Amino acid sequence: MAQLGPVELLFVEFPGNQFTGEIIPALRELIDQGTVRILDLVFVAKDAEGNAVGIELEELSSESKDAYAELVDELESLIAEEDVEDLAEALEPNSSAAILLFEHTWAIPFRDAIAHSGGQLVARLPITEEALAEIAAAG
Amino acid sequence: MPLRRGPGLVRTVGRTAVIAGTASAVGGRVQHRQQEKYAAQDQQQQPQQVQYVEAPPAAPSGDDQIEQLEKLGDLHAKGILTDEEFAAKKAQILGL
Repeated sequence: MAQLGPVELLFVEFPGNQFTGEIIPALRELIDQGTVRILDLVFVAKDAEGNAVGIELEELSSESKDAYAELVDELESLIAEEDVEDLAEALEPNSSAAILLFEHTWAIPFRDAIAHSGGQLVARLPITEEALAEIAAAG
Repeated sequence: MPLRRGPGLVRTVGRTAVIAGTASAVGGRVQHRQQEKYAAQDQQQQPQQVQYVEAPPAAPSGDDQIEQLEKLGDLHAKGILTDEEFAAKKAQILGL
C-alpha cells in the first residue's frame, strides 16, 4: 500500500437498526475537501437479544448502499471479521453501527514537515471528552 | 465481497501498542469491554503460570511416609535414636 496519511478506525453507534444517512452529507464534505478518505467501511447490527452481525456495504438496502457507496472509491478490506466481533461486543442491543476506516489526508503535509525537520511522531493519543471533563472538574 | 479473514485491526493495534510503548488508541466502551475480556482470560490462565517462589521442601507422601516411619521405628527400637530424636524425625516425616 502506498504511504498513507494517519489511519484511524471510528466505530459509530446508531440507536435502532437503521443506518441513518444523516452523517453522509457531513462525510461527503470532508472527502470533497480532501480532509479524509474512507479506506474501508463495514456495518454492524445487533438485535434485541444481543446477536450481532456484520453487514457489507453491498448488502445494504439500495438507498443506503448508493448513498454510502458515493463516499468510498474502493474498499481496502482492512476491517477484519475479528474487528466486527470485537467491536460488536461494545454495541448496545437493538442498535446498529458503522465501522469507518479513515485516512487523515489533512495530516500528510504536517507529517511530511515533521519528517523533513528530522522529527519523529512518538505517540498519538485521542483525549476523550470524559478525560477533559474530569480534568476540568478537578481544576 | 471482501474476505476479511486476516488479523483484526483492534487486536493488532493493542498488541503493537504494548510493544512500541505507546498508549492504547482504543478507548471508551470498546477498551473497557476488551479489558474485561482479557482480564477474565488472564484469570483462567493463572494455573499455568510458572512459580518462581522457592517452595519449602515438601513432606514425603503416602507410601514413602510409611516406609520411612518403619525404618525410623526400627532405628528407635534398636536404641540408635533417642526418644526425642525419634519424635522429631517422625514429626518431620509427617510434615508436622
